[in-house]
This record gives sequence, C-alpha cells and structure tokens, in this order.
Amino acid sequence: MDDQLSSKRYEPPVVDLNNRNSGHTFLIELTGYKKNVLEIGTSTGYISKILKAHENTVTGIEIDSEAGSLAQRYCDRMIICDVESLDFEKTFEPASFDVILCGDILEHLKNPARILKKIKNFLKPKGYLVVSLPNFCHGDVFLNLLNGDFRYTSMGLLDETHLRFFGLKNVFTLFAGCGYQISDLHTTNLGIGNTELRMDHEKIPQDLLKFIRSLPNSDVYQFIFIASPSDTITLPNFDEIDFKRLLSDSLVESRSAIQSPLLEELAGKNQQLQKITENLTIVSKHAHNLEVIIADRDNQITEFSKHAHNLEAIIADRDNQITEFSKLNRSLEAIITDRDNQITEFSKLNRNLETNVINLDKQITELRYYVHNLETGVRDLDKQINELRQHARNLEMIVTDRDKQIADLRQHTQNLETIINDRDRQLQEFVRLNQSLSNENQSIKRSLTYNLTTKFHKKIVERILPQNTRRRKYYNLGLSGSRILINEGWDRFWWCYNERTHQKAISTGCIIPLPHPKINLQESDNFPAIQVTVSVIIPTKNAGPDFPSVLDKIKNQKGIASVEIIIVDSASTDGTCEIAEKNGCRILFIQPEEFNHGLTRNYGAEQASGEFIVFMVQDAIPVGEYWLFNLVKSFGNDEKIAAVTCRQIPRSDADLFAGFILWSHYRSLKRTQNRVYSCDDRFDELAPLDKRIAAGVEDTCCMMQKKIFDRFKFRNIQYGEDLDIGIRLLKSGYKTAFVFSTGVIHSHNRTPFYFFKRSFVDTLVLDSLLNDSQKPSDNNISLKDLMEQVLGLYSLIHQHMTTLGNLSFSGTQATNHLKKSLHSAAVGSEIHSFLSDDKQSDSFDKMNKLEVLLAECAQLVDTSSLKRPDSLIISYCAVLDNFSDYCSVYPSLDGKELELFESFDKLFALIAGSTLATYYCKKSHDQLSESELTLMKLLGEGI
Amino acid sequence: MNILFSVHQFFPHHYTGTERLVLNLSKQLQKNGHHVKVLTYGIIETEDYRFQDGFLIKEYSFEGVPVISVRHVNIPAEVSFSIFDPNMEKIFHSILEKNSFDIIHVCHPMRTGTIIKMAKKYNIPVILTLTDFWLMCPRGIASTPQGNLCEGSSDGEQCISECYGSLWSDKIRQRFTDATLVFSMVNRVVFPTVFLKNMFSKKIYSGPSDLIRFGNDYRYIRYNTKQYSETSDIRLGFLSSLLPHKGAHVLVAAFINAHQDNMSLKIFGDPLHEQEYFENMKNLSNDYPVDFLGKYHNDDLESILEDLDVVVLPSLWWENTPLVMLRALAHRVPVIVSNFPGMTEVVRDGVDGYVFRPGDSDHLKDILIKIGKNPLLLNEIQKSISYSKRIEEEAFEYECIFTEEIQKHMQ
Repeated sequence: MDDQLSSKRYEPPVVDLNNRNSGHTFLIELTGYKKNVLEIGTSTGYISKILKAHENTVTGIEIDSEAGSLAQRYCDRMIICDVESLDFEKTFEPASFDVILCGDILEHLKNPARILKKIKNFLKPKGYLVVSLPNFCHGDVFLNLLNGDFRYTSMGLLDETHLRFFGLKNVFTLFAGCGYQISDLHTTNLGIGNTELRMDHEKIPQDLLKFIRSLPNSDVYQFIFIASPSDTITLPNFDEIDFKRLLSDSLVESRSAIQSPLLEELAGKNQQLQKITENLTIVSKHAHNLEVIIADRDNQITEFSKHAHNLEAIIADRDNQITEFSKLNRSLEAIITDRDNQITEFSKLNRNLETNVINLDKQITELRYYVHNLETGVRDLDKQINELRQHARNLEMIVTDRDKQIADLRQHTQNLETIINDRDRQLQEFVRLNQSLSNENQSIKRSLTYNLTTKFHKKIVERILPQNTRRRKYYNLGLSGSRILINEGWDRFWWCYNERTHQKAISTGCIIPLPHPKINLQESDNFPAIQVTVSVIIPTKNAGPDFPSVLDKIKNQKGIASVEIIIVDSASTDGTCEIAEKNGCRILFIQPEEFNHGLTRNYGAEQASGEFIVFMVQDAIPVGEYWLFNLVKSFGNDEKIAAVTCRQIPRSDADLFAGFILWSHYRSLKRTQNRVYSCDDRFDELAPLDKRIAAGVEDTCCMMQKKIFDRFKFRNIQYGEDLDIGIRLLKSGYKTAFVFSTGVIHSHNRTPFYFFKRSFVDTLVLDSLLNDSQKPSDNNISLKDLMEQVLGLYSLIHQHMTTLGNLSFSGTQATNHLKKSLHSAAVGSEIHSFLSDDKQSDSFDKMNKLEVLLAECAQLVDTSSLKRPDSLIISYCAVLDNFSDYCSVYPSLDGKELELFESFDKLFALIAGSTLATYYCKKSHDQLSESELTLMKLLGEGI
Repeated sequence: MNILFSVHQFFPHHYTGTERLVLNLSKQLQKNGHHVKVLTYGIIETEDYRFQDGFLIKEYSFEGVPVISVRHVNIPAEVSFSIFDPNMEKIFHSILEKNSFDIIHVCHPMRTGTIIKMAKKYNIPVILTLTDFWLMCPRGIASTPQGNLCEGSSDGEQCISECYGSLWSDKIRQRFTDATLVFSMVNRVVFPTVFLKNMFSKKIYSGPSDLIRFGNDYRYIRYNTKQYSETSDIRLGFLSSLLPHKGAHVLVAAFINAHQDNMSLKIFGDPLHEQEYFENMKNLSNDYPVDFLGKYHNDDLESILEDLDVVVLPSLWWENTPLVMLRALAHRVPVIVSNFPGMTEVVRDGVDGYVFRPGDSDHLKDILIKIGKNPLLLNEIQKSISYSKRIEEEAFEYECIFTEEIQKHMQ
C-alpha cells in the first residue's frame, strides 16, 4: 500500500549519510543535533526519522495525508495541511524553532516569498532555514529548450508539480528580497545527460555540448544552503557571461584536437597541389602556345584554308589533351580520397595513443600502490624497532630492578650479620647470667634455712589445706593470683580475674552439623519437601524497591510443603500493599502510631497457621532457594530448640562501614559457625557478653517454633524485644541456635548521625537486659564532663583527618596514622565551630546532621569547652584497631577515601553514643534533671 | 580466609563473563572480611612488569581487589592451548611461598592451570569452576571448523580427526591426559549450568559436582514495570555480536515476515569481521523499522533493557547461559530463546519467555505474531519470571564451599 503513495516517489531507497553528492546528506548535516526543527514537506518521514535519531525535536508539515501519517512515526508533532494555507500564528508560538527545513519544497509553492517572510517570525533568535532547491539552469534543460522541447517529467528538475523555477541568481534575489542572508551553499551535481531530461548525445554537436558544459552551474542539480534572517544582506557578484568567448573557446577546443594532423596533411597536399599547379602552368603555357599556334593556324586558315584539316587535327589533339586533364583531375581526386583515408588512420592512431596513455596511467597507479605497500612495510618495521626498543628498555629496567634487589639483599645480609653478632653477645650474657643464677639457686637449695622452711611449709599446707578441698583451691588461686599481681601488675591480675569469671560461659554450646545441603544437579527438582507449613511475618512501611524481590524469593523456596507470607503494614504509601497483594500475601493493617517492634510481630504471629514462623524485615533478601529448608532443618529433632537466627550478608552496594559492622558483629559474638546455645538455670551467672551470644535472637531473620513462641511472645518494650525473648527462652530451659551457613542479604549504608543514636540506644538496652554497660571508672563524673570529652574526641579526630587527605594509602596505614596522631596531640583551646551560639552563621549551615545533634546535646548540658578525652581515645583506638583488621583485606582504599573518612566519624559515633549512655545506666529515672531527660529523649528517638 | 582466585585473563583489559565472576566474588568476599587475591596471565598487557624467576610479574589492584599478573617473557604459541606449563612452576612456587592461601579457586584453567599442580604440592585445597568448554574442547566452542556441534571426545581422537589433524596428535593426547589429571587433583568441581555439567559428563568428567548459577549485581537492576495493553508498541532487542552463529539473521527474517505494525527491532552488537553478513542483513531490513545501533558497553545495559520489551537470543550454537539473558530476566524483561539446553534450563516456554527451534525463522515468526497480536501476554510472562540470583548469593554459596573444604582439609 505504501508504494502507491504519491509522496513515496520522493523517498530514496537509502538515506546514505556518507554520500557527499546527496541533498539529504547536506540537509541533515546543516540541521544538526538536539534542535527544535520544523520540517516543511516531510513526505513519508525518511528525513524526519534521521533527524529524530540525531536527538532533534521534529515538527512536521505535510500536504499528503497518507505520507503524513507515515511520517508521524518519527515526528514529535505532525500537521497535515497545505503550508500555504496554514495559519502559522495560530499553530506555533513565535520564535519556536532552531531550524526550519525546506527540502525541495519552495518550487512547489504558488508564492514562496510569502511563506519565506511568514516563517521568519517562528525562528529563534539564532535560528535559520535549511533549504534545497532544484537548479532550473541545468544543461539538460538548455538542450531540451534548444530542441524546442519544454516537457515536464514525473519528478526531477521539471517535476510536473513545480510552479516556480530558479537559477542561482534567482535563489539569491528571492531570499534577499525576503530578508535572508544565504550561507553554507552546497551543490549536488549531475552531469549533462545524466538527468531525467537526458537527450541523445549522438544528435547534439560536440561543440554545442562543450559550450553548454562551460556555462556556470550547468551540471548543478540542486542547491542546498542555510538562509539566516539578516538586516544587511550581501549579494555575490554574478559576472556577466562572455558567451562569445565561451563559444569560441568551445570551438577552438573542439577543433584543436584534430587540427594539427590535418594541417600537416594539408601542407603535404598543398605541396602536391603546387606541383600540379606548376604542371598546370606548364600545360597552360603549352596551351597558350597552342592557342598562338591556333591563332597562327587561324591566320593560316585564313591564309591557308588548305591547312584547315590540320587545324582540326590540332583541335582533336587538344580534345585529347583535355581528356588527359580530366584523367589527371580524377587522379587528383583519388589522391584526396587517399589523404582522407590517411586522416582516418591517424585518428585511429590517436585513439591507440590515448589507450596507451590510459594503460600507462594504470601502471603508474599500480606503482603508487606498490610504493604505498613499501611505505606500510617500512612503517611496520619502524613499529617493530620501537617495540624492540621498548622491550630493551623493559629489560634495562629489569636489570636495574635486580641490581637494586641485590643491593637490598646485601644490605639485608649485613643487617642480619649485625643482628646475629648482637644475638651472640646477648646469648653469651644470658649464659653467664644463667650460670650465676643457677649457682645461687643451688646454694639456696643447699642451705639449711630453705630446707627447713620448705619442709615446714609443705607439712603445714598439707595439714591445714588438704588436697581436693575448697580451701586448697582458694589457696592455689590466691597463690597464682599473688604471683600474677607481683610479677605482672594489677591490670593483668584484673584481666585474668575477669577471664576466669567469664569461663563459666556457655559450657553446653556446641557446633551442630548443619552442612550446606548437597543438592545433586540431576535431582534438584526432586528434592524431598519437608511436610510443614512455614509462616513468614514481615512488618512493613514503604518497603522499598527490593520488596518484590524479597517476596519472590520467599514464594519460590523449595523443600518446604507450604509457605504463607503475612504482611503487617503501617500505612505504606509506595504501593507496598499492592505488591504484597499481587504476590498472594495476607495483609494486616495497623496505624503508624500503633507500631511496636514486638507487639506488631505478635499481631502477625497470631494470624499465622504454620508450625514454624519466621520473623524478618522488609528489606532482608533470602539467600538461595533452600533458605527456609535449611532453617527448618536446623531444628533437627531437638524439640528444645525454640529459635534459629541466621546470618546477615552485606549487600553488593554496602559501603566500607556497613561491611565492617556486620563482620565485627559476628566476630565479637563468636558467630562464625553454626551453633546451639542452652544454659539451664545458670543464665544469670554468665558474663554479659556470653548472655548476649547465647540469647542473641535477631528478628532481622529468625525462625521460631510456633507452639513455643505462642507461650512467650514478644514483650511490649521499646527496643531489644528479640534479645529479651531469647533470654526468657534460655532461662526457661529452651535452646537458641545461630546458623552461619544460610542467611539473608541485609545491610544499610547509614550515617554517623544514625550510629550515634543507635549506639546510645543499644547500650541502654544491653544494660537493662544484660547489665552490660561499660561503667566509667569515676562514678561521679558528670554528663557535662562526658560531653566535653566527646566533643574533645570529635575535635581531635577532625584535626587529624585533614592530614590524611593527601595520602594514597591502605586502610590499615590510615588508621595507624590516625591512632598515632590521637595519642600525641592535645585538644586545642578553641571552641569547635559548631558550638557557636550563632545558628545563623555560615558555619552552622555547613554543619552535618551529626554536628547539629552534638551541638544540641552540648547546649542541653551547657557545654562550651572541650576536654582531652584520654579514656575515650583508648576506646576509640580499640575500635580503630578492629576496623583496621577489617580494612586489611583491601590493598588500597583509593576511590573509597570518602567511605573511610565517614567510617572514622561512624566509629566516633559508636563511642560517643555508648559513652553518654553509660551515664544514664547508673542513674535511676528520678535522679535525672530535666535537661538530662531531654537529652535522653533526643538521643533515643527515631531509631 | 585467604583465597586465591586463578583466571586466564582479567580486568582492566578483559571483562567478559568469567572475569566478571572473579571480580564479583572477590569484592563480595572482601565485604565479608576475607582476604582475596587474583592470579592471572597478561596475554596482551606489557606495561609495568618486573622480571622474576624467568617470568614477568606485576602486582596491581583493580577496584580494591589485589591482582598478581604473570606472563612469559616471550609468550609461547601454545599458551592458550596447553593446560600445564612446567616452566611456570617456579614463579607459582614463589607466589605460594610468599602468601599463605587457605584455598585456591580456579575459575578458568587456561594459561594459569599449572597452579593446580602447585597447589597439590603445597597441600592447598582447590575448587574448579568450569564456565565454558575449554577443558574438553581445545577450540573452546564445542563445534568443528565446519560449524557442526560437537559433544567432545574422551581421548582427543575426534579432535585430531575433525579439527586439528595428525600433526597435533601428540599434543592433543597430552592435553586430554592433563585434563583427566586436573579432575583428579581438584577437591571440588562447580558448574554454573546443568547443561555444561552434562556436556562434561558425557566424555570427560562424570564425578560429583556442585551447581552454582551466575548471579546478577542488583545495584544495576531496575525492574521492568511496564503494563501492556492490546495496542501497546513492542520493541524487540538483539544484544550480541553480529556473527552468523549468534543468529541475528534468523531474527531479522522472522521480524520482516511477521509484519506486525506495532513492533520494532533494535539490534545492538558489533559485526566484527563479518561486514558482508552485516550489510546483507541491513539491506534486507531497509524498509522496516529495524535499527542497527552498533556495539554496546556493559554499563549501557541498564538503560538499553529499560527501553526494550522483549530480548531475543536466536543463537545457532550451544549457548551456555548467556549473561545478557540472565540480565534481561533480572530486569524482568521477557526473552525468546533458541531451544538449547544452556538457555532452556532457565527459560521455561510460556513462563519466563518463549522457546523456538534453533534457526527456524518461521517458528520465531509465529511467536512474534502471537505477541504482536496480543501484547497482554507479556504482562503474564513478566509476572512469572523467576530468575533472581544475586552476586551476594553466588559469593555466599562459594564461601560455604570454601569453608567446608578448608574444614575437611584441616581434619
């Protein structure tokens, strides 16, 4: 159907932008990229399509509705109408277009000047027209006109729909008349005889053809140019054509090719003619003589009538001579014919010579190609030489490197020798010392006093403190404690005491065999399912982009007979409930103010029908298809296992600190293997850390036996509901488990502000549940003092972080550098900028959220100075050491500098939060002032 | 854990599937707190090497992952053919001496395969992941020079007769002996697809193995949430090299014959050396809404897939789970694939997409007409796409295997 469109005839088979003799190429190039374009006369949109591909916004106008409907595919706006009748003012805003494209369109219009003037208003200030027009003054048109023929054709120069015709002069005058300056003029060329108006060249005299070719623009098919609105227009000088000269040049040229051989021939012919003329002269003279004779004979006739007969004979003789002249004349004609033949042969010879010249040209081209190949070869050789040079340089570097290594090794050997000598000397001293001590020892042992004392002491001890009694045990403990105290000091004694106290921890903890299920490739679809129902409970509020993936993963779990998902939603507005509904979840609704970490989960659990329930968060993505299967398997046949918590794995977009915090969490809780915990009735005897390890149920993702959970449920507390239920389960004789070999993908890239608050809350929760606060050594220290130390630490860290900026480092180097600086530096006397009262100042605007919070805290406890925080520096350096361990997996943190600096702030936030929390741990609520309570509320909210 | 990954080539110059697997695993295991290093071979790299033990060696870091790259001073012609190279033992010895690795994960045995032998000497457990046919087919593509698909050989005789000729017979036989040795030395074999496992089990290795499928990095995944109506326009996409065995011509023919007004086709890919094939295809589709958009970069996939409604993989050879297919499924863009097991073990006909007979453009045309006439079908497909493996899961599964093997080893 498309092929029947009248406009389709203008559409090229291919718009080849590499063709420099195509009007389309220039139209598209002159239009450019990313512009607002009005294309008048789109036809089927073959130009619009490319303009669109060049990221232009294209508005099209097309008179032909069918063609216009095709072009519509590529145009942002399509208007199907006659452009001459279009009300531009009503259709377009003034100054709308960067470019108006008039490709072969003006010649179809009744009044192109009117349209050109009209569209000027719709160009932007620097806008322009891109125009193409056919050249009426093409040589083929002239030849047709000379032939008395002004025929229209279906398309081309004399397209039957053309109403206007232009030569180059007319183009300039038309556009100048409408107020446009023409620039960037391009032409497409089609030689005479190559257009649709082609005449039979055999019928056209070559001289005429040459003459028409010599006329300017006689081979130009189209003019393509830019026309820009301008107040001052310069027209080019169109010189008058010197027809006489062009005509004579054409004739001279056309003849010159054959003139010279003909002239030579003519010269030869002239020589022969001269000889003939000479002969003729001789003959004429002879004739004259004969005439004289005839005259004489006439006289003689008169005189001698009797000689009349002789005279007739003479006449006859003269007739014969005339016959001979005729013969001679014929032979001359034969010679001329012969000469003509010779000219023809010369022409042939001439053609042969031309052929020879073409052959020679070919040979020259081949030689050039050969030379080019040789040049390429030379270049390749040059390249090889350069590569060899590079290789040689590499080898030189290697040699230098090895020399350096040898020198280093020599130095190292010398150092080792020095060390060995030193060690030899030390060894000798030790031997001497040992000898003298041994002698002394021998003499003491031999002494009577020693023997009596030992004997007496042994007897006394055996008597008063018999073996296997509690007294003897305390005696031994006291003895070893005294030794430690005397030999290693108070700190070591205290540390050993704590270690010993904590040895009571988790004596029944054991590793349970929970291997990663071996799923044979062929049997993966036939893996036997456990005949249980698992209910997964997820509290949600605007669950985020991964929520569909979370639900997908849960739905597609294998190896479990039935899985139900229960969503407890607090007024989500991001489509969470719709996604849950699509995925077949049961949805329970609560008001946001009703939300409580424990009670909300209880509400979900009440609706659950499974033998097992899983509590998880909305953005924890289960790992693999056997996650639930592995969790159920972890319960084994042990009815006492009430809850199984699984591992959290950092997301691929986790930042440095998010990865560290998970790593550190599992390392400090010794959760790097699958474990089961139980503690009978001795829970309260455990050290706080062990309590936390054993009771560490985490509702990020944990599975519980429904029947046990229903007896315990989460309690109505603000935070730590999961740890709380863990403690209660253990105290009641149940077991908890941790599974390292399955897990959920879950991490957050949080801010220092968050970690400050989180650390504060965690410390309070741990203290209340486990009695695990880090009590400050001085119980009388005030909150103001603590705040001054916190601010002092922040100030110190930031002073020294600036010195790290120019280093290219590993994380370990950076943390060591910071540690060293913290130990050596003193807090400046200046008050940190964020403590300023002037909240309108520039520096206040630049403060981050953590600084704003610190400033608010400082204001609440009336802090205005900083203190060197020696104890906090020790704590901070301890977490820095831990962080440094984690960073050691990265050879370089280039590109993660920002994450590293933020991590220093987040580590600070952990220390600061827990430090301030310890103050509250040792006070009861009624011992706190109003401002202290406000501070507590400020730090405890929003987690 | 201290883990060494071994791969035949690596970033920044090489970035196809196996290199990406190594990079993803390394970065994720670093996040989990493990020390990793990548051992690779500098097949085209020349800069910054130093001389050591008769070899060139350099250490660098790519996106925070430490890399040791080794190369011969003069690269031997058979570096990508042979499995073991005794000359490399000394340099690998130095590397293993200097680092105390707990486990070695060979992600491709080409060029650096000798590390398997050395690991055995150092008593370090080795995990081998096979991502392609190279260990069973020296040509690496499981097809003969005549283009016939080949199921491999147990002793190499088929390689000699059909691909290499008798001049290579000794080397081929040695290679097959070495391949058998590899399987006897490694502690565990992992395949990313059942298809690859089956291919190896026919002739080379039928022992125990694990299946760990490739994961996608969901940082770069945006779910396709388009809802189709009866009149929706459908943009088909082809994303691969424009080489005959990738089958773009089958798609173009099917697209032209399907003649659906609401469909357009975008072809991304490099014609490489098959310029004539490319030109023919271009000429054939001149009058149709087919755009040839040239080579694409992995970073562009996010925006390309966002713009497509269906991705077509009309391959004519044994594709082994192309990454672009997994990526499209992760974006929840339906796919149409040739019926080859590497693809159909992930794509279920009528569920995640559609499957057609390889090379049968009429069959593909029928599928296109079906979708063109009823775009609502895509809504159903989009909903039921289930491939959602993440690189975190992939790394986690490997971490579990590493832990198990190290524990076994310590016992």
